[in-house]
Amino acid sequence: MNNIEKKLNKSADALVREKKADILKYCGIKIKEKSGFKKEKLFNALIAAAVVIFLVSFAVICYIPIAYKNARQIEESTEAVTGSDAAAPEKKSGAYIFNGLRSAGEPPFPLPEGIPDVKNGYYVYSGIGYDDYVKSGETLKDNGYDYDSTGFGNRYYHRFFIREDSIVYVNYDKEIKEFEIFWYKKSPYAPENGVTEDEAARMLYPEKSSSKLKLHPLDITPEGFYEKTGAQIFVAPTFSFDRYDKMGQPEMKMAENKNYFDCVTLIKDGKSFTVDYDCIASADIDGDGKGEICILNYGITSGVFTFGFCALTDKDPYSGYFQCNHMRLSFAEKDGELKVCGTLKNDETRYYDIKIEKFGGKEYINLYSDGKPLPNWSIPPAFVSSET
Amino acid sequence: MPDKSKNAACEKALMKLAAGDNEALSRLYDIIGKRVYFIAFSVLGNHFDAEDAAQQTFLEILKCAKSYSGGGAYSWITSVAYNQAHKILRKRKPEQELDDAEETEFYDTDPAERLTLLDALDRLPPEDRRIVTLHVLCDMRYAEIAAETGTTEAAIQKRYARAIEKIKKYYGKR
Repeated sequence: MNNIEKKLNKSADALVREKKADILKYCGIKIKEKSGFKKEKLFNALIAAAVVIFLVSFAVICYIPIAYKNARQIEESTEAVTGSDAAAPEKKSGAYIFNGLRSAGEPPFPLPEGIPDVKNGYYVYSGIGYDDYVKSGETLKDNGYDYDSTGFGNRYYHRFFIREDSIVYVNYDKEIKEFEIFWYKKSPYAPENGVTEDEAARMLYPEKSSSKLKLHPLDITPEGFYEKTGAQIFVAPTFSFDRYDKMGQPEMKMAENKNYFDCVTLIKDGKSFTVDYDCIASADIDGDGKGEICILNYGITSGVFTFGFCALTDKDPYSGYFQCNHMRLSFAEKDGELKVCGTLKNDETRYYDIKIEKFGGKEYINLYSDGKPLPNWSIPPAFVSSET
Repeated sequence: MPDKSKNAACEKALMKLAAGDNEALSRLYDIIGKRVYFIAFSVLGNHFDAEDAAQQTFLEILKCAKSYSGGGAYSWITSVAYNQAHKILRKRKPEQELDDAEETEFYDTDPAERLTLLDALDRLPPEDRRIVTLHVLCDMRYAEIAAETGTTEAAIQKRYARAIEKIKKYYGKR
């Protein structure tokens, strides 16, 4: 067997090994983990746990009397300043309600070694070789993640991993050896009148029996439903069905797209609405006390950097196209409100306030930084010149 | 032709499956999963459908293990894989061909050497890809492929050598 044949065989072996779980799952068979290594791990873990329990018990016995004394002192001094029944802060109009921000909270898995540059919810590692990128996938699998699917080009690699509580995206740029990882929380809710992940997938891919195409409920709305419309929200790292344009306008429905993109799908009463997205969050941006589903997208222009902001509601979506210097975008929570956060090439971070404003009787989204609005291509020029 | 040890191992796993030990399907997958998958890939030309065909094949094996009469487990499973792949091929709408071909650019790839496999194999013309897949990944001899594709052994051999050259050239460029 020559070298090429060996390489092909090696690749094929890896591919088939990886598909084993999915294929057998389809037949109703769950693969048992090989036990040798796991047993050894379990034994080590038990020894470690016993040592930790002993040390913690010892520390607690020594620490309790001191801690109790300190706690009483702190309690007394706090009561003196605020009174014991300090009221909870009032909810502001336009305030953040509930979110599914990218990489929010503690990482649900051990991060790769090294010090990442954390920006806009992306954990970026530089100088990473391809092998280390592959190794990161193995670490995720060891932590209970199922490999979902991969897309690749000649330079960029994208992988998705799914666990009950989260979706992890792992991207790698082979040319500049940059590796990034981020995650979204999956919804812990299984709404009574909603559809399951499988039902949602079957609805959107009626002709596909493959387990490859999956939808995942996103932890973005209270109780698993979007409160304004009662729709459920799912994301799909890979998809193969119609989607709407970046602004969520149904009349601008794009041709069926079979490429790799992230998209968000709202499902209600057997109907679905899909729009592609880069970043998503839920917040009350129009001040009516209920959240909107806010979606950020990179624009479709070439030569000039633009991005889109679309907020889905129970009526027409609020939307806007904005032009600025190239930025990496995300949503962020700042001062108790949802803001658009952009990181420029020189690492400068800008936060933009989100405002709904009326121009010519129609409501538009505007973004302000230090009182100045970003150029908004959606607002008719006459209003832009007079208002800004 | 399957080697005797693989055939015997398949036979044993199939018997266990027929006796109600469903976990034997996992063992069966280890032995013949690669062949099933790439038989389907050789027929369907994309990983997306190949996975579907592999799923259907193993489901069929699970359902029909009891009716398997013994003798040639390896060949029997291979023919089930062919049948399932052809079933999907027949169901496939004509306009789907192009779309699915586009999909393989992005789906079902994986780490390490995976790029090597897909890049190299997917860039071959369909007939060359089929020959390389059957010979290298499904352990089929030139004569078997010739019978399968309705051509001569010498033609397959030549075509195979040319396909391997193309893959080598592609490596050279990377």
